[in-house]
Amino acid sequence: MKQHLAEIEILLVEDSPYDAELTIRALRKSNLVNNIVHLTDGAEALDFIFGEGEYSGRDINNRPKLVLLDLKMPKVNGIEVLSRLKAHDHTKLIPVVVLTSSNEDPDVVACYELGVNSYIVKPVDFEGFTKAVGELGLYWVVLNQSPIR
Amino acid sequence: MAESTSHAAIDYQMVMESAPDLYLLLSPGLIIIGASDAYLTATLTKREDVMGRHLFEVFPDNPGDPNADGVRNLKASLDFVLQHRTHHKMAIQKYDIRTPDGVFEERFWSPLNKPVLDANGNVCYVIHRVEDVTELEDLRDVTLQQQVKYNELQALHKGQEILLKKTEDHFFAIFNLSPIALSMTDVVSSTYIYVNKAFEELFKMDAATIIGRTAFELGITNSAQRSETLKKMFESGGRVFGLESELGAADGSRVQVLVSIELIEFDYSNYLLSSIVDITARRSMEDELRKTNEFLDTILENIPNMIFVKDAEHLRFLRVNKAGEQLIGLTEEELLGKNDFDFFPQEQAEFFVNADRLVLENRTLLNIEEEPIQTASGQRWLHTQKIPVVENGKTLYLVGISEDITEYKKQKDAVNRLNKELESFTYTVSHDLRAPLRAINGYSKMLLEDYHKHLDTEGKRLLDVICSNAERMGKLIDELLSFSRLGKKELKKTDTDLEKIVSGLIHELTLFGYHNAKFKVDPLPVIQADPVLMKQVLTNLISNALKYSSKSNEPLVKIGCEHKGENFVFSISDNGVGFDMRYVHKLFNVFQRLHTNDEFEGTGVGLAIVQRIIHKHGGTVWATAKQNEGATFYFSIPHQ
Repeated sequence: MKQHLAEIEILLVEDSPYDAELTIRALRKSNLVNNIVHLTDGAEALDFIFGEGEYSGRDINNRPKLVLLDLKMPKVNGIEVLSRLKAHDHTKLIPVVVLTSSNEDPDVVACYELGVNSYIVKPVDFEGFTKAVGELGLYWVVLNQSPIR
Repeated sequence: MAESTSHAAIDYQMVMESAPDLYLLLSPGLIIIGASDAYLTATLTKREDVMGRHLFEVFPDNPGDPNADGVRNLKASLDFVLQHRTHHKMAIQKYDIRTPDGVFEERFWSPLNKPVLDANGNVCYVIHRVEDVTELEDLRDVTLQQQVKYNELQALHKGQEILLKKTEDHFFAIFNLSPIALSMTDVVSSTYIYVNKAFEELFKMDAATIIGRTAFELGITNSAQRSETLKKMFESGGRVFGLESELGAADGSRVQVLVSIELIEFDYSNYLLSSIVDITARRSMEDELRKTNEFLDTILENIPNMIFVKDAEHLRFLRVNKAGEQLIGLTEEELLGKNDFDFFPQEQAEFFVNADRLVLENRTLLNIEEEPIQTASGQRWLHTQKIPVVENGKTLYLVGISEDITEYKKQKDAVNRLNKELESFTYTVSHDLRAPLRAINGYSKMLLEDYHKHLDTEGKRLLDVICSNAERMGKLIDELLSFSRLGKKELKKTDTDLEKIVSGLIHELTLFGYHNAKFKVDPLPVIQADPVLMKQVLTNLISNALKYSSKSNEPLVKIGCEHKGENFVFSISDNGVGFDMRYVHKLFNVFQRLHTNDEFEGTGVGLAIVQRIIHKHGGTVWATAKQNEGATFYFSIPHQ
């Protein structure tokens, strides 16, 4: 059983190890985030948040300040994770930002209908990506006053 | 001379011969077997010349009088008496008498014929009694009675005057004024006694021609019609009503008529009263109507779409055309009088009938784009329009027109399916092709950042090439996606102020210092277009103009507008490198470039997007250029 005693700042749910590495690198670069939890599929993310399965016993009150959610994942996809989070009183106030590969992604509309807080397009160019992720972390983790705390 | 008192001794022959009146005694075979002296005197004959001879041999018609009808009328009267064994009083009859020297003298008679019957009621003799009324002709200023008799004679001489005397005055008037052709014929001779004005007009003959002749003689009827009519009369007890017939007029034309005939009796004579209604006009109208109906029928039957008519109340089929029969797989006979529940599954019949009711209640046309129908050949799809037919404020019928769109729908569904597939393909492309590019680019950058100390200049250059190509491929994917997405995007047309869009664009481009060009912009109109897409068009064209003139000394971009017919024609020109007109036809193809990426960066999608947007607006796009002197791009947009 994994324990995450420190306050979780960002939960990154991303199946691509390369995208995950780039994202984490960008977040670290901004020097704003210390504790990032990276999970590789939606099912695991739900277990983590709700303290079930592999994560039963985890303090579910230790909620992330921000969930960065990739949409296209095997097993349970981003949309399902989002709808579960937004449907549950315990988790519905956690800010969720979805990561998508394309501006034209029809799933983005569905995400807004489900109450997503923002979305970012993962651009091909690294600088753009770093900038976008850095700004995102700054806003949601540092500047945003969550009503949960 | 001893008086004879004994009954048996009376010499009846002598008595009869001596009677003051004019008598003739005839056998049933009309052989003269007795005559009074007075009769012989009056007829200028001698007993020995008449006895034992046939009546008409002795008394023929005056051959000098073409209208002589004495023999015919007398014979008719005698025939009547022999047949009916009852007396018959003839009308005043002109019957000329032959003098001993062979000349005929004009005479008028008032005859009465009476049968003498034996114990068994058989006719053994006929007594023919006449009064010579000829002298009345010559009397002028005598007694009133004589005058009346004289007038009677004059009047009754002609057939119609029989009517005048023997019927009510108003009946006569009606007879004459009636628009219906009326005639009276002698029942025995079938000759016309009287006809009215309408009769003359109908058969285009005057009464003088008609009277005294038979319809057959006049060519009004033929023998077949005559026997047909007689048969009808016999069957119906002397009456014919509304018999349809075609009769001949004097000019050879045929008239369509309805004939009614009634046997009437005046005094002791029988006549046929015929009334003839001319239905030629009605017939020809009916013919016209029938032709019109046939014409409409032919059209209706040949229309390749199903057309049906239902009555508004019970929604039963009143009419189904050939296409409908073929579609449903039942004949019109099988369909007529039935409703949808008789042929279709319950659920489907309810669907049809509910739509019908809606149309009839709202009295509006209903357009059903896609309507499933279960037919003999399986499930089909129809495009149906249902129309209420209102007459005098009442909804009477429901008319349906259905086009079989099964094949079209199959194709449409296939296209939709392909579009869906294409959409999921684009989605996959955008996601899955970009992810490895991101890794290539990102990891190269990480290599540059983390290991720059270990790389020499050439190593760094190689990594830069990798990065820039990955980025370029990302851009290509993005533009290709946005281009393909344009295909299904619907236009949202509204008032679009092009001048505002252009000045906004120039402001943006200038603000970010992307160029050092001068602009010359004509006044631009407000047009009906999709503003988002028009901005895209102008962005692409102005960016191109700036890009390809960026290496000129004094870059100048001109934007103009002209009215040409029903279109606005816009132009964007620059004084840049232009292009070779030999390749102008390739200009608007996707991924087509006329310059290398080293000369000018680009993906070759921009102009393809421009063309697609302009086509969607109903316009066209074209370009002219000269190498190293500049290019002008034109596009037209319809006013409306």
